[in-house]
Amino acid sequence: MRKGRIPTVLMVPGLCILVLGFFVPLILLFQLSWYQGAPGSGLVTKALTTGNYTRLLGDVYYLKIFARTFRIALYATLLSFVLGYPMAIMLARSKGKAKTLLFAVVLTPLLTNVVARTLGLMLLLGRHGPINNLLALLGGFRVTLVPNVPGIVIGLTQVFMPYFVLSVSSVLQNIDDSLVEAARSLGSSRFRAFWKVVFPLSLPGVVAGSLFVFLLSFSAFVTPRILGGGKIMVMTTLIYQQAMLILDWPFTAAIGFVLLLISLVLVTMYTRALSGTERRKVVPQGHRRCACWSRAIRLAQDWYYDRTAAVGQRWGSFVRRWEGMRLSLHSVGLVTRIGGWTLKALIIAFILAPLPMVIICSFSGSSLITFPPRGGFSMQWYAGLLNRPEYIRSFLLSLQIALMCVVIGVSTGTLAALGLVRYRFPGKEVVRSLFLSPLMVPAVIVGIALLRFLAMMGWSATFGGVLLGHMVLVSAYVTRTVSASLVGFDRSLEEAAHDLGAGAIYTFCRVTLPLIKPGLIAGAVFAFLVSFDETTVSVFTTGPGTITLPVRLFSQLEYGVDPTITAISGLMIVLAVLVLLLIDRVLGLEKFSGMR
Amino acid sequence: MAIVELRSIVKVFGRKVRALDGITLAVREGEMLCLLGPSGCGKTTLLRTVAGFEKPTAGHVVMNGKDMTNVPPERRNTALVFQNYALFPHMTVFDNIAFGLKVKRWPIREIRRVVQETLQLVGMTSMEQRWVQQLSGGQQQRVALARALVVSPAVLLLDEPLSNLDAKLRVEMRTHLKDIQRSVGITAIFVTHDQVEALTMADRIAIMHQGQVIQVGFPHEVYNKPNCTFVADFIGKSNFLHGRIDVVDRSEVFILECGERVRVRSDGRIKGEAVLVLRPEQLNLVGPTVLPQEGNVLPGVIEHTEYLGEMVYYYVHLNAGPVVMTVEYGKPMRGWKNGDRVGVAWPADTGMLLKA
Repeated sequence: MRKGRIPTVLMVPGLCILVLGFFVPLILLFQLSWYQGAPGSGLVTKALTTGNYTRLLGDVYYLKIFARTFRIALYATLLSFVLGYPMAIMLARSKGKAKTLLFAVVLTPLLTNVVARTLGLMLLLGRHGPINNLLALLGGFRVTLVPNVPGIVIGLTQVFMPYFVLSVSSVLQNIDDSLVEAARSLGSSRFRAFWKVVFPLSLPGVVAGSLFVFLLSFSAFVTPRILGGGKIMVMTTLIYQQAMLILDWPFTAAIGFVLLLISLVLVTMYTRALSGTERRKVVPQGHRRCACWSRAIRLAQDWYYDRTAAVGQRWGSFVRRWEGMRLSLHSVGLVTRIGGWTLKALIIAFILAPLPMVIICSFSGSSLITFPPRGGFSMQWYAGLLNRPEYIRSFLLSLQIALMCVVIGVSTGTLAALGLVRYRFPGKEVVRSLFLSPLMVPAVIVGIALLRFLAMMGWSATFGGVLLGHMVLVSAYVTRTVSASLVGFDRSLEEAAHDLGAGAIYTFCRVTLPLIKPGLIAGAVFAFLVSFDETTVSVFTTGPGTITLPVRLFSQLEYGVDPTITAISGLMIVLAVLVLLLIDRVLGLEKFSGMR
Repeated sequence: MAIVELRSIVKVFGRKVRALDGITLAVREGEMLCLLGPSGCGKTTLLRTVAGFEKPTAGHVVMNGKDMTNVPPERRNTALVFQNYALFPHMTVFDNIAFGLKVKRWPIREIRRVVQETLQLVGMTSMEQRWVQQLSGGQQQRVALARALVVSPAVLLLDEPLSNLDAKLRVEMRTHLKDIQRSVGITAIFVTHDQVEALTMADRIAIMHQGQVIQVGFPHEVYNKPNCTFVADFIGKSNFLHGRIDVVDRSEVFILECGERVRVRSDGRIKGEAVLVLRPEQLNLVGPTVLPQEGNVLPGVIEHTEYLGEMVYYYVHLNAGPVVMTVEYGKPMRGWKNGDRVGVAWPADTGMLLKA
């Protein structure tokens, strides 16, 4: 590692994008939050005031919104845990083809466009959707899941649970099988071995995964907006309302910064939890606690054990009498097994369900979007796409931006990654955080900051403005992905090349580049998908003439469901599956999910 | 008297891999039986079958008269000490050892007492509040052993107990393990590929090869009376002289491939093609002109010597063809050198005749 020399050349391109598209807008936004706004007119009086913050933190109405956002995120996290943990166990235990398939199941929601997914959820959870139809059939009642809080919670879980699953399953995989065998060899049942050995060791992954899901749920925009029908207000939708409808810009900025603060706290907690999972051997902090404190804990544990042991003895002898009858034991095992399989099938169905629904509905013969579709099979909506030039324009625009993002993002991101991984210079960690910061900031905030900034510079709703927003996110993703693959790179290979007479550039092209290709490909795929599917920031930065495909879909869903949406969403789902297949062919899904 | 009986155990993995090919074995009460063999011979699979982690494709596992073949590991009265120790990293030494007792719901006071006793037995007192990561390899092994012993299993199972220790510790632990086993009086089965471990620790050795038990016996039996060339080769060092048995003047003679004749002691059971197995310590080096009186002498040239401090190995290239290894211990050493012409001599009644 080269010390001292600051690799300015490598970092400058990436930093330019970040400064222009991220830091400057954010600073301006912060400045804005201290001014006085005028609801309805969008005018800003440049007089310093704390009014925005006091209003936000003092008014019960807004505090209720915080509480609601918090509650929804909490429910989503809990639900992710309940559904995600069995899924993580399944993933960790599977091998070969089954494992690849499970990875595909877990990754599909992440790669599918959020609007397409949410449409599927609306179909699934709607008042006349399959779930309600089933309830009506069995119980004679219907539940309003959308637009309503349960719908939002389910939607958020559906979207973010995969992150939880990946976090926990990677920790589970690192737990040695022989630990469970050792427990069983000492007389412990399979369940007890899991509860006393595997589960405690998996907790770092659970904590990290939960924090991540919570953070994402807290800052989510599209899902609560669509599944809340505009009626359920959370912090992000409040920002949208204040920015786009009420036009009270300083107030919007204040809300944004409170949200940002909360996010940063969560991110810090998450990063700490993450370092707990990366240590191979769990080193308990126990031996650092003072002796009397740990002694007290031990006494309490022993007392609790003694109380339950007596009960356990009686239960144990009861179970043993049962076990005398061999048949019952066998059938209990069978029931547990069938129950386990059913649960796992249901969870997988939960993750994937909305997607086939969208596709099925897209072939509907009628113009009413219902499930099951009426009117027979028809390709009319797909054919109709050709008559909707605005959709084709949006598609081409999204494609164009995505491709540019790939090219620019991969180059700047790789250069930045090289600079961050291979050079040591003062303030490196700060610079690294700067490069990755767009990932830690809720997309809504990036959106409003950019909207304001572009308006100031006269670049509103321009191609360049939209591209800038995408580039900020993309370069952060690529930097992270390529950094991850560079860290494991064996420098002695480059040294061998130099030793044999190769110059720096030749070595880079012939030795380094081919070897970091997997990381670059993963980065390129990310760049494309992140840009093509990007909805939240684009909602704020696009305007007539520069509407990207996801934004057009988003607007359509808000106004009323045009069946053409199902066709486009169907196509986007197919796109996601194709990308999945491509990734598996080139990289392998397991490797890819480790790089996210 | 047999604590563990294995009856015709067959284990097939997938469709083709016959890891265990009809094993019948009995382990006597209080003995330490060793399963010895090269990698892939099935010894670990057999151990895991006794523990209950592998279900045999055919055959029965009988413990104390009861058929345990279909009984899961948690309800067998066995305890397995894993090769990598498998100590629970989120628990202290005390909690690790207490684990099995807590499963049985023993009262805490009893648990504390018994754990202390066991810690004393393995020599780890005062370590009970340490975390597993703070222990050295040897200490971890002793905790793993204590954890298994404390549940008083009928059979103690050890999977390559010494292979993760450095050479010096290995020698120390060899005696320590054996002492503990003897003092507790527990029946034990251990698996190893190291014949030194087998010879020093086991009461009986079962040599395995390709899923079968080739020979079972006391260490001196297995060493001095191997029943086939594989065993003779695996245990100790052996020289193999190929040839055939023939009857000349109504006494049996062993004719080497090159035609030379040597006198052997034969019990008449082996006829035709055979192998004469001679251990290095059974061969003496004599001067080139010494003639045999009661024994055999084959002339040769010293090709290679290995000086090991307390002994020297000589590799002699016999005129008859093969290269044999001989050893000289202690003092005085004749100090033969490479290139010396010597005679390799041995009494007619030493050596073992085995089927080719």
